[in-house]
Formats: sequence, structure tokens, C-alpha cells
Amino acid sequence: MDFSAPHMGFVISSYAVTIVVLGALALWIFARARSVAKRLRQLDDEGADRRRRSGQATA
Amino acid sequence: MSSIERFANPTRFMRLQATVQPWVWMITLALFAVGLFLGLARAPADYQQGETVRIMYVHVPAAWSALMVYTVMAVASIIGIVFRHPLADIAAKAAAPIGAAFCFLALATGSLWGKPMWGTWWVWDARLTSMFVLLLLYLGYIAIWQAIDDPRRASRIAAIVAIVGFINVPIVKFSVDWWYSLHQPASVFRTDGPTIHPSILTPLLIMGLAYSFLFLALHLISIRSEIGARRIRQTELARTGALQ
Repeated sequence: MDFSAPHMGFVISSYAVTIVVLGALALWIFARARSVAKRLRQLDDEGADRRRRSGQATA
Repeated sequence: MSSIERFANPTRFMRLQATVQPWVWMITLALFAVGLFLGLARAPADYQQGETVRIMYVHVPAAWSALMVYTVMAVASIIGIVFRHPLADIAAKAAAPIGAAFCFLALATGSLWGKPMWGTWWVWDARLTSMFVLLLLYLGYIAIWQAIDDPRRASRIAAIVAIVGFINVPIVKFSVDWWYSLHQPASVFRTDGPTIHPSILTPLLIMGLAYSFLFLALHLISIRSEIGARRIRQTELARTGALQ
């Protein structure tokens, strides 16, 4: 690739905007996946606590 | 339908997703590495466009993917409406932001190619306008899911929008044949074969595959998140109901 060729600014901008948009999309998807997984773990733990407490109360 | 139902079971999907996800990522990264190497380091500059032709390696796969993702959404929406399968609705919803990003990239990189080649950032010709309509359809579909609280009602309305909006997909594809357009006609998927030299066609097809695998990788994660989000919603609603 010849970086001194005409219009290289447009070529570089195209790859830059692609990296930024796809990078932001991937980060958003990863962040959502992480927050959902964290909340599911919290709910599981709370459910386990509740079951343990109700088990002790019955005993 | 039995095999679709078997794989479309959310719990089975979660297991399958966890198994295939690392492989999908590895294939995606390998395809991007090879595609970018061939496209940026090996493929020659075009005799007319010069180095600007390299924009094609990110622009064309983004446009293909935007059309492919909308087709996935429409098919999933039909399955969701006809068979009432929850995973179909989830798949359609999870695909929309990814497709919107691809569509935006097709328009943005096309504009960056148009300025040096056509002398303008934008023209309201058939291909560009129908692609812009596709972006509006994506945004409208996402807005429906955001605006309606009841997921069942949202899925029904969003599915109808996705199915009706699918009419725009062949319009985008054949717009350059049906109307006079500044955009060049199809040069890869033609009945008489591609009109591009293999030295440019090969990296283009590899980048197309790379975008498809990137969609698959991100879509699988998004579906998993959406299944999780629905479980959270159901659990929290059940707890609220138990407290009242």
C-alpha cells in the first residue's frame, strides 16, 4: 500500500471509523453480557440464601 | 421442526454457545488477519481508483452483512410469529444492533469512498437511499423494543416491522439494475460470474466471511445476554408478586 498516494486520508478514515464502530459495538455487547451474568449470579446467591433460611426455619 | 426446536431450546442453546464461542472467535480473528493482509498488503491498487479501492474491503462486507443480518431478523421473526418460539424473538432482537452498526458502516465508508471518486459525500440515488431506509428500519425496530415494556407485545409488533421491512432487502440489492444509479452495478454476485480480478476478489470474499463470523460471534453473546435478561426479569417479577 502506497501511503503517499492521493486520497489516502479517505482510506485511513474508512478503516478508523470501522475499527471505532465495531470496537464500540463489541465493548457494548461484552459489557451487557458481563452485567447480565453478574445479576444472574446475585439472584442465584440470594435464592440459595433464601432456601437455606427457609430450611433452617422448618428444622 | 423437531430439530429446530431441539437446538432452539434456551438451555441447550446456552450449552452449545459456550462450546462453539471460542472456535467462532478464533475463525473470526484468523479471517480478519488473512483478509486484511491480502487486502492491504498484497492486493494491487486499482488502475482507475488507485489506493481508494481498499475502502471496498471494509465497505462491501459491511453492506453485505447489513442485508444478511436483516434477512436473519426477518426469518427469525417469521419463526417467532408462526411457531411462537421465544428463542426466535430473542435472536431477531439480538441481531438488530449488530445489523444497524454494519448498515451505518456501509453508509459511512461508502460516503468516504464517494467523495474522492464521485466528488460528493452523498447523492439521493436508489442504492444509497434504499440503504439509508434499511438503517431507519433497523433503528425503528430497536426503538419498538425500547418503547414497549411488555416483551410479548413488543416482539409481535417488532416482528411485523421486520417482516414488512424485508421488502427493502431486494430493493437494495436490485436498485442498481432497476433504476439509474450513480452506484456501480453488482460485480460479485452476478448470474454470469464476478467481474473483479481474483487478486482483489479473494481478499474481498475473505473479508465478507470475516464480517459474517464476527456477526455470528457477537450474535451468540447477545442471544445469551437476552436469555439471561429475560430470566432476571421473570425472577424479579416473581419476587415482586410474592411480596405483594
